[in-house]
Amino acid sequence: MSLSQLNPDNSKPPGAKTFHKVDQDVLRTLQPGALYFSLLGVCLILIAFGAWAWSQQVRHGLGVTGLKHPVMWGAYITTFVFWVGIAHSGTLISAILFLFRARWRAAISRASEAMTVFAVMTAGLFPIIHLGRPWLFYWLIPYPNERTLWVNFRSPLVWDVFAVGTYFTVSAVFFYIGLIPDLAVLRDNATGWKRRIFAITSLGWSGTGREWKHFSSAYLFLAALATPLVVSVHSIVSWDFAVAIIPGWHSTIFAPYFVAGAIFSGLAMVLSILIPARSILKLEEYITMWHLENISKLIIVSSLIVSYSYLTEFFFAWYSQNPFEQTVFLSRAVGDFAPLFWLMVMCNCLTPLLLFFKSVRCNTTILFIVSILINIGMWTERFVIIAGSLAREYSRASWDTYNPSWVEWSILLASFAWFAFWFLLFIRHLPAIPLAEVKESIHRSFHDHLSNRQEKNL
Amino acid sequence: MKGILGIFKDREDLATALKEMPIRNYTYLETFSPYPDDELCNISEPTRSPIRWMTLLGGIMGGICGLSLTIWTTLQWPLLITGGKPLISFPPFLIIAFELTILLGALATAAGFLYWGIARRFLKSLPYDVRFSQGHFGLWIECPQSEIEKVVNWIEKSGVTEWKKY
Amino acid sequence: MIKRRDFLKTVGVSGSAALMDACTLENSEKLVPYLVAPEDIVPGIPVYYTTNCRECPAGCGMLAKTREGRVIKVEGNPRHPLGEGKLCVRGQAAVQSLYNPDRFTGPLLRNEQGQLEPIEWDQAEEILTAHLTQLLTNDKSQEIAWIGHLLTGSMESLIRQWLQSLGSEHLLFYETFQYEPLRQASKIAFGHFGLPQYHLEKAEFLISFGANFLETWRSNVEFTSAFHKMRSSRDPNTPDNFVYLGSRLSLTGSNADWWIPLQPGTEIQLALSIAHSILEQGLATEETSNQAWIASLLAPYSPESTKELTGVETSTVRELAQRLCKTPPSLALGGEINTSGEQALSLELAVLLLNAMAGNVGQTITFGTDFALNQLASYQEILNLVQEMHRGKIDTLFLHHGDPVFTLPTRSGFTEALDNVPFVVSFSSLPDETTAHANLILPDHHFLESWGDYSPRSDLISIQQPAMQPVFNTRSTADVIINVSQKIDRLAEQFTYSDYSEKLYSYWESAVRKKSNKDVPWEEFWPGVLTNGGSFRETAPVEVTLKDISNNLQVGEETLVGPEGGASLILYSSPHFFDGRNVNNPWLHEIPDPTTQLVWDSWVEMHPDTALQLSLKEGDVVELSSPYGTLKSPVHLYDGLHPNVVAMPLGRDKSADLRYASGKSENPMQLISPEAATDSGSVLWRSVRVGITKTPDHHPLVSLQLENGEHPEEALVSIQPVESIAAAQRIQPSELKETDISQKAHAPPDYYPPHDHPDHQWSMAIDLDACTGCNACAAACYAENNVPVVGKELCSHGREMSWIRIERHKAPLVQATDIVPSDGISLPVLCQHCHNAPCEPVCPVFATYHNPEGLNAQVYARCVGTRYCSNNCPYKVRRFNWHTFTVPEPLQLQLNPDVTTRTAGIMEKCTFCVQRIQEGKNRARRENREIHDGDVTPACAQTCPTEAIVFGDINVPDSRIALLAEHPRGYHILEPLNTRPAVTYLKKLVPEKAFAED
Repeated sequence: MSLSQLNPDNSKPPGAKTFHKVDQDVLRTLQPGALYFSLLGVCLILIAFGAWAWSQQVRHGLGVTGLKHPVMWGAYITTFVFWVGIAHSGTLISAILFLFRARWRAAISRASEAMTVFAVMTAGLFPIIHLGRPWLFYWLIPYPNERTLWVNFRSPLVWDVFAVGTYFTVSAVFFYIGLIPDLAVLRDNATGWKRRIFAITSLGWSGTGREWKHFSSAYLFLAALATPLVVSVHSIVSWDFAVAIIPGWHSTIFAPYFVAGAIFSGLAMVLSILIPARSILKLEEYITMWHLENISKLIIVSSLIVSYSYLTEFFFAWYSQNPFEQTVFLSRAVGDFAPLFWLMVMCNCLTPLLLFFKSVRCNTTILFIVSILINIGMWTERFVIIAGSLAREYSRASWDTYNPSWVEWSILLASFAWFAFWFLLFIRHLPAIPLAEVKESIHRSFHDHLSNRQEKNL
Repeated sequence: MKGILGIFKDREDLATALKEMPIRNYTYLETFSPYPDDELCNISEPTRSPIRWMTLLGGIMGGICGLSLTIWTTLQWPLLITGGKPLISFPPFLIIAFELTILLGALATAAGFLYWGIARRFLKSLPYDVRFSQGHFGLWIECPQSEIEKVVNWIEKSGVTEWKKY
Repeated sequence: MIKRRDFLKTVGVSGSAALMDACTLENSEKLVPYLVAPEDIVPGIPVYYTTNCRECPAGCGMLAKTREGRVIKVEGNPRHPLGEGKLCVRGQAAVQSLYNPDRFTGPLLRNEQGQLEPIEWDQAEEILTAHLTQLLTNDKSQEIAWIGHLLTGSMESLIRQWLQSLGSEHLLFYETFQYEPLRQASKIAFGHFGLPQYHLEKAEFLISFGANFLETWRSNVEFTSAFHKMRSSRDPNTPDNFVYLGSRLSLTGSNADWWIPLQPGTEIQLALSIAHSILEQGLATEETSNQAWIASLLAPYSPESTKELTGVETSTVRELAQRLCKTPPSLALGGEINTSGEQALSLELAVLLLNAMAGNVGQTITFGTDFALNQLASYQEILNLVQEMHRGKIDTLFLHHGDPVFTLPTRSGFTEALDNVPFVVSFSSLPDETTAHANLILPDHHFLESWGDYSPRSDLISIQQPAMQPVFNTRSTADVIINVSQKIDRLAEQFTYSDYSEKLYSYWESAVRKKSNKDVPWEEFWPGVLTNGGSFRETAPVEVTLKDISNNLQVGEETLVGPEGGASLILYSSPHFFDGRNVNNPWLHEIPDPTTQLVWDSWVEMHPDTALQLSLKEGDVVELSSPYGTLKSPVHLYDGLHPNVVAMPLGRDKSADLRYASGKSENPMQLISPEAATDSGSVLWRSVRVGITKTPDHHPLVSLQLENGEHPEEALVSIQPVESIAAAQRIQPSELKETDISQKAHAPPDYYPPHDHPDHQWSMAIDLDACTGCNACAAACYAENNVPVVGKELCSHGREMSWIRIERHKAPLVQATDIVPSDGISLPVLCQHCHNAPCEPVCPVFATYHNPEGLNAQVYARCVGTRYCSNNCPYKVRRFNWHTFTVPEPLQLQLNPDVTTRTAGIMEKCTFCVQRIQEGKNRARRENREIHDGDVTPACAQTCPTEAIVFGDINVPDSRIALLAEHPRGYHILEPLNTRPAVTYLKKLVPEKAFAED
């Protein structure tokens, strides 16, 4: 973060005044307004509608969806993968960039972490929503029962239970521990019952050297654990498909391919959230163009990896001379799913190339549009992979196509509302900017600044 | 409890003051800061945090749990052959083991933090000033009655914003 | 097997013994299985009754499997010569006509307002009695007429006796397909009226002039198994020994090696030119070769001269001639409704001439056995009665089964005549077009509920036992007649039977036992009849000689009335619905039509080129107009048609109030001529050309197979069903491991060690060379495993539940040449019970796993519905319950109590009929012995008329399955996936070189 904005007088080290300003700027964002409540209302309505749609499905059976023989998985699993993917960039920014000492992440790490937690909360619903008999979902969890019948640990779906479960727990813990010092700030600025709540939630944090020491150590190790976790989680999600024998699914590149895709879509989601947020919450000095640019650069990288994976898939199909593989990819390019396929190519491969231009990276409007397109593109990608491959399976006589029904569409919409609902609650009641980290980075950047000056003087 | 709490506006003043001060004479020191600051932390707690051992322990525990859970439960019903795979098919079981390694590792780390970082502090009650969380820095010096005068003289010379005696 | 038969014998006898008492309890509401429960009727143990199938006039032997007093499944009677234990798709579905929810629940009377209102049986019989007494007193009883389906034996004698004593001469047995031309032709050609008996199994070469003997023609089950015998014994070097001629490639046609797509009306010229070629090449038998009239008759029909009209190359004709004569005996089968126009009789004559010249008479064609079908009134006689009715000469008309209003040409005026008859009594048990005109409806029992007998051929007469109490408040027509007669003084003394069964016994005593087995006392004879399902004997064929047929042979351009340039209309009998009598059986709608793969609805078939000219797409509704009527129907594009032809199936839909017949598509009988053929007196099935006009409407037709399997690369690895015999012989024993499923033997390399199945290893083999694609297995599976019917709408979403599907794979047909390979392949696909099943490891909850006997088990209660297993199944044989499917009362009575019904959200699939496996194992354990070959037979294998499906324990040495698993023609679908299926497919044999090439 450029020091000049917060510490105009570079000769003096940043002191209480500067840090106090940070507090004030962030605390200012915690006043709920009309916009907030109206958005919250909209979310609740959409969630309610989605819930009703699902109740129809539970009552009448999955026949109310567009699913059919042989396309047994469709919009639900697509959406599941989509949201797990969204979660990933959160961990990337908060944990991986932390390990890489990428200091610029500080300002946006809190929002990304929150995104991770809520995205996993959303994703976790879909495996249950899509079940034929959802009331028995707990049979996928290994628990002692009188038949001594446990779960099948060979099934990727059980791996999912463990992966997603672990991922949610760890990110939640990571999120909360990082929040404790800032809760203390809130406590010290609050009065009455709010103060009491924050006093409890901040566990009586008082910022002593010992606390900070253990805090940093714990934060570091959690970040170190979250990093392999994030890679494993989306690899496992991709193995839901790669482990199956379906042409178009059964591919060794799926794990890296999906992880890259996850980071890609997640970063785009970060942009789509931060760009409006920073202007509404007037946090431009904290979440600067510099941050947005850095994210854009990461997007370019991940986009190129994803595009490369697309090419590799087609290359495999051609090189393997496997007729089934070829049939699937042919139908993707020119068959029923061709429009979606080309939409996906447009969104995921071509649009991100715009970000090579600084003018684009620095224009929040275009950036926002690009990020939305990427989100659409990534949902489409998963849809094409999942439904498209199933529709063109080995048994040619069973080929068919698939269109989601209104139930699936409304539940998809509701999932966005559900995510937005939690994010709104977060952004209005907790500091969207990690105060301690920002203060720390101001301090550090001042020292860098000093040392630079000394070198110059010498 | 006898001691002096110094409140500093600027971190640098505290830092320089600490340099001039022969701290080892005094039984207990604690610093307060709005963000983690290695220099100040080392004054109150020079040794490394033991949390890393918790992480290691939790991880190992998790790995063992993962393997034993999968293998033991499969042996509960050895008739359940699926897809021509043997009862104990390691590749999938390792995935479970890995996830549990991470999970228990993380939980152990959190537990460690709650113990050393939070719980331990309540053993000793310290004075506190709300400004610490916002931008001010603090120093708590515990010392015998006899020494108080000396400490007061020293702290007044340092660029302290204000100081309290307890 | 013998043990099983003894088992059947005991239960058959004692069970029916009990029923003899039970049957007198006609109108009991509840389903009380037995009045006096025989000690060996144990709940949970099925009881089998021998009876015979009356779904069509063929009358195959049938076993009714009952549980706790209700029929749950019907199967062929293994001791009966007709069917030999097999049933067709219609026979399998007979239980659905028994439990049909739309059956009349009791007698009905049409009141002044013209509404049918329910009445009591006593009342109904009184009404009838009163009416008849009045007729007798007014001396108008000769104005009584009876039109009913084909009857023989005791029932026939009862009806004849009754009508005689009433003084009526109008007794017409009427079926939709009556074969008048063939019956006449054999009279003319051999002086022996009636249908000849064919012996396909003896024929070395078969040529069919449109006769669909695998579908509905005469006795399809009998012919199908005979056809299989003929094919399986054919000379490997000439595997192509069946040629089908006709304008439409039927299911039978697609089982031929070669198809000659003919311009309708030219069949006879082709037949005669073949005869000419036989003569010309000096291949004819000597008694025919030196007959002057033959030479002169055939003179004008040299292959060269007929080529113009038929479009068949001379080389092809010569080859046909050679094949017919070179390897005697051969067989040429005469036409069916799709070939019978005004020259139908001449065609039959020409075909008989062919057979005579090829020396088949006495070999593959014999006379001397009298067929029940010979008694049928001709269409001309029906028309005469219609005239009578019009003239008001008929006061009372009894309609006993059959649906003449629907099945007679609409313009025949029968419907109008019917309304001209004051008192119409229908014994039909299901609402149909005819009952809509009846004044009094006295619903008869279903044949599974009532006593009866039927003698399709003079050499056998089958017994028809009541297998259960009546489902509804119906009453057997015979009993109604007896009751009524006993109330009429003039008849009373002749009808002294307490009920029909008594009449039945006396008939069997006098007419059967005394004639056939005089020396066997009744006490032994009757139980034998009940266990065997009838009384069977040999009849000696009579010598016949060919007469001069030239005067009866009218050959010319077939005249079709109708708009110039219109397409000639062909009607064909639906393989599933015969003439529409079982149109309300949902299974038959849900199982795809063999040739089109369409479900539900009816349609008109059109060649793609024709459709292109008229810019018509699949499902577009067209209006067909002939001089006799017009109708609207959706178009189905079918390349197995001659381009100048449109074809319509009969009986796929009715307008009567039936829940499984939509009533949307109209009756094609509206279009054809009401005239009868002048010579044979048959219906002019092929008499019109129809104008085709496109309408704006579109009526989507639902096909369950969107893609035809022919696909160059795929053919290599996935569907490799065809193979030339030479290739098959080339396979060396060393290469057998590729087509080997027994794991103990050569196992292909694998990451994990194979798991073996020490006790049992259930496996199946399906011979694609034998499978005709008749769908009987599918119907049997629906019946055995409580597979739900989902209806058209859900079928269109690809949510059908069938556990076994017959995929149709064929190369696109070339119309250019005169003779094309028809290589249609029917590939029955069911759960392959793979040893490395991809579906198993992906299930998170162990709902599907591999059991120790090699079965891929599916635990319904454990399934949570992730549907991953179905995704991962390369054969796509798993079915998901998208909703909780239920059946309307009383169809639920048919559900098999040994198989659980499934609810929404559960995956299901073929279990190899695990309940039958269990039963087989239990039987072996009771008799404490090892499992033998044939102890366990799944429903599909049980009913397969060609025994294309063989099932068994591969661990039983030298069992059929153990041998077939090693068969040189064996292969597995998608073998490269290394799923190691337990189902071995045997490749179909196809000719390597073109037909007329040497």
